[in-house]
Amino acid sequence: MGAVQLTGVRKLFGAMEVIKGIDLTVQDGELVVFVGPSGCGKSTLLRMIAGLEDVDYGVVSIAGVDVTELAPARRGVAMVFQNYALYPHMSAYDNLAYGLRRTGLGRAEVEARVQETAALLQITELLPRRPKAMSGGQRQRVAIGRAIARKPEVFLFDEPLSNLDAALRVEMRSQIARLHHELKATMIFVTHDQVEAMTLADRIVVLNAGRVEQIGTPREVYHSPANLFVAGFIGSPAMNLLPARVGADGRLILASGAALDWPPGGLAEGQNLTLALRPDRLALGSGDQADATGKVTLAEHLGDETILHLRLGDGPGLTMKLPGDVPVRVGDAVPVSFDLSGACLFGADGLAVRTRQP
Amino acid sequence: MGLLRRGQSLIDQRRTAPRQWWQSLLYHAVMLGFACIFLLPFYWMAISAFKNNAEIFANPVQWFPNPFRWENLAALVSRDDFPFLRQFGNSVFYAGSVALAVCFSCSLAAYSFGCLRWRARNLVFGLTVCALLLPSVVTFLPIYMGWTRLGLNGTYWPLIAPFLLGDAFYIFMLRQFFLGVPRELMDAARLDGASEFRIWWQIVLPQVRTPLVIVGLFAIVYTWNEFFGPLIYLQDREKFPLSLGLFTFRAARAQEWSISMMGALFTALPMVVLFLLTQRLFQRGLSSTGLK
Amino acid sequence: MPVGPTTVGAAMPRRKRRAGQGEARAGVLFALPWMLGLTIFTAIPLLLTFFIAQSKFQITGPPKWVGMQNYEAIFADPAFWTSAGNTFMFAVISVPLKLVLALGLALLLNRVTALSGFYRTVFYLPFLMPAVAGSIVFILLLNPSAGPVNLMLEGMGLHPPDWLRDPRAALWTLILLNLWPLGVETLVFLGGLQNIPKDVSEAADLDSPKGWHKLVWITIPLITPMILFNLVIGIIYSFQIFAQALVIGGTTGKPAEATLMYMVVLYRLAFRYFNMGQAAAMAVVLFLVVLLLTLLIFRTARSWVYYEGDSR
Repeated sequence: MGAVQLTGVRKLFGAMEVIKGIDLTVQDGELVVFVGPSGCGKSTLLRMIAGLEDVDYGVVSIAGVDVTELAPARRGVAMVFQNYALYPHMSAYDNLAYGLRRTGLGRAEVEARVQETAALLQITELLPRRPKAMSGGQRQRVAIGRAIARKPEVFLFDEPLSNLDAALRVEMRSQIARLHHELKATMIFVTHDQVEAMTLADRIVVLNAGRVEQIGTPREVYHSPANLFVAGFIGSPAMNLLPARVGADGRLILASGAALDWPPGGLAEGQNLTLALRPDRLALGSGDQADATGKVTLAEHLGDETILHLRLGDGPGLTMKLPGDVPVRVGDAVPVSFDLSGACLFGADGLAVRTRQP
Repeated sequence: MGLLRRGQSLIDQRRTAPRQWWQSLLYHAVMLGFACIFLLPFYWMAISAFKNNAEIFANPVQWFPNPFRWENLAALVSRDDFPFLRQFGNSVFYAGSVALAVCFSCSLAAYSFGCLRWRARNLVFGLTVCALLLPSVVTFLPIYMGWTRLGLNGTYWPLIAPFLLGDAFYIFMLRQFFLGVPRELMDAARLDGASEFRIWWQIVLPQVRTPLVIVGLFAIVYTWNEFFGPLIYLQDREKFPLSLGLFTFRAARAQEWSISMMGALFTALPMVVLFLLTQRLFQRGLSSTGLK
Repeated sequence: MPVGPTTVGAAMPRRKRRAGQGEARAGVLFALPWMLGLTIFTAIPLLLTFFIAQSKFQITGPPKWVGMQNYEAIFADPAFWTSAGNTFMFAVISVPLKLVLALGLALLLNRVTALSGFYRTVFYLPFLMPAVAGSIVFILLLNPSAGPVNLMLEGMGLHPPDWLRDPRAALWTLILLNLWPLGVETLVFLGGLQNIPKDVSEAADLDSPKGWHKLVWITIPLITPMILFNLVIGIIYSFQIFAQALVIGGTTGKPAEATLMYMVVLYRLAFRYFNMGQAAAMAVVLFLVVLLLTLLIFRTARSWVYYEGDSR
């Protein structure tokens, strides 16, 4: 098993830079998730690690070896593709065996490894079948099996669960987590689904437009976003971002006029900041204790919780996540109180200035 | 760490993967070499057309005609024993008629196979595929005798008439394209009260305009080069298409290489020009048949 | 329709299905000209050829039934066997050779480079050359003393044969002439190569340490339908080669009958000696041989051709 290290990696398509200087290290045995919006370059980065895309500047090394110039098959990586990419003319057994046979393993050993992998993924009955005779979930497991059978240094997953229906996705997610635990393998997982990212990752790499926005554990990324982008990207519903100004007394003045207490220190008067609050940090205020009043524009009743979308005056919108069933309707005016524990402040440049502990 | 130190300098340099550079060069060298070999006959034909006999057989090889004998061109069109212009016109007539006939008749059948549902459809289409694979050798004799009985031997009727009913190859090719027309389009027209014929003429055919052109082009090229049919049915030299005319000229005057080459050049040239102008269409046509 | 109480098992008159009727009728009508054509120009002549093969045609009077006499006659004719042998050799050599060359060319053309379009055009061009014109040019090219081919081969130090007068080399003239128009087969293969899903190709990249592994185990198996198609078409076509053989070898297959092809003998029998019966007999024999070969190929095809699954 090996670590993956990217140093100064850049890629250009013609004049356009799509990967803008990435440095990161994946530790041995870690499951790292690359997450970001469409077009941020996460798949491209993964494919550069795999050797399916060229690296224009920088170094990619796997288990201490510089693999930047090496062909994909020589890098010690295995990949699970979004559309499975199973060899359509071969049975599942042959799909698993193909890579092994190419490296010159004897028949007995190929058989042993294939059976071992099939047992691990519970696909032994599927071995004689061809891909077209299998369901999506089955194909996905065979694709994973093909990667596992090769015992690579690093496993690469390119949005493997995107083509599965919701229930299957949840099941496969836990299977992958289990696999990671059992194999203690180094895995890099690409997804646009942050729930997947948060549940699977040891560490998350948040990417945006070819740049790394933040690398951290799920907790770090959730509770201490490094900048506005990460704050707005991680978490569903998205974090509320409210423009605020620092008042004379060190309190935060919102556009609506509400003033909020903030622990003293480090904030200059008149500074323009953005206050970021998770939707679950807003509660229904009681009368005059409310920090603000908003008018409901949309109410989503999910059974165990209610999500309210409000508008503060003619100012910014707010999203609130309230437990239980709240009997509020569109058009109602609701008082809102802010719980500032766990809130973040971002400077004019978008970078985190202060984070209050939850 | 050793890795970091080495990495320092590599980060700043653009990777151009040097092996790729000469790999590319080698590739193009090989391909251009093959291209030259493939183009050699064309080139040889073109230059020989403008030489006289002695120059054609000159040793060492004369790679460019010197002098460039334009008079060969005049000689070609003014020979009595080679009514070139007449035969050129015949070829145009022949290829054009077949192309039009094919476009009409095969679009009817292809529409039926590709867009309509009827009970015996798969059976008849299966027979069509069998007809495709049937060597023509086993059907031409009785057909020849039939046309002779009808007294139409010596005319273009035997060569063109069958295409008024259809041809397996073009039907197969067209059907692939008709399969791509969405069924909703026809259903919508049916709801609007259009007759089946109207649907074919006004709704579906406009959708396959380009494929029809493609099929027409293929028909033109195949028919222009057709040799066996004209050989057995036509006797009057004035009626020959170029493919046959060139052959009979050469059979009679084997040693007049300049004229033969000039004739060959102008037999091949129209098709080459046609192809160069409509390449993409040809490629679309071919890639559709490969999907079996 | 009277509406009454419906009890289980009560028989209600079946409504006539109107929905598909108009379409079905149109289907038949539209296909009618072609069905007529199939009958008149394929089915009936096919049967008639068998009959003619068993008759003798005289200048006057109706044809006479002679049973197997025609077959006996052609089997006794040395020209039949010579031409059959030549044709068989020709097919057996040129078809696989052409497939391999076309596949190689398609693999080379599969790269996207600046000159891709140009290459594709160049390699397709020979197909457009009329058979007669092409054959005449090849005769010039392969001229032993002054043709560029021999001159270049000699320049490279090789000892080229006398293509057109040496009986052993003459067949190769025909084979070379037939290999030249690779365009159709190459484009069919190219289509197949480009149909391979990109991520399957990439998965193979990851799994195949040596470049040729991917070619042999993944790429070629996935284009076996195209190989089958080209193989069958190639066999059917090569057994019937005519125009080129006629130009290169005349009606006698000179030199020394080395280029005498089956179709030329057939043509000779029908249109020079006016022996329709024997010509038909030859046609029948050719048909049966080609049919047998085609069926054999299709039989074995099941084991080596990858079927993607049916379309409509």
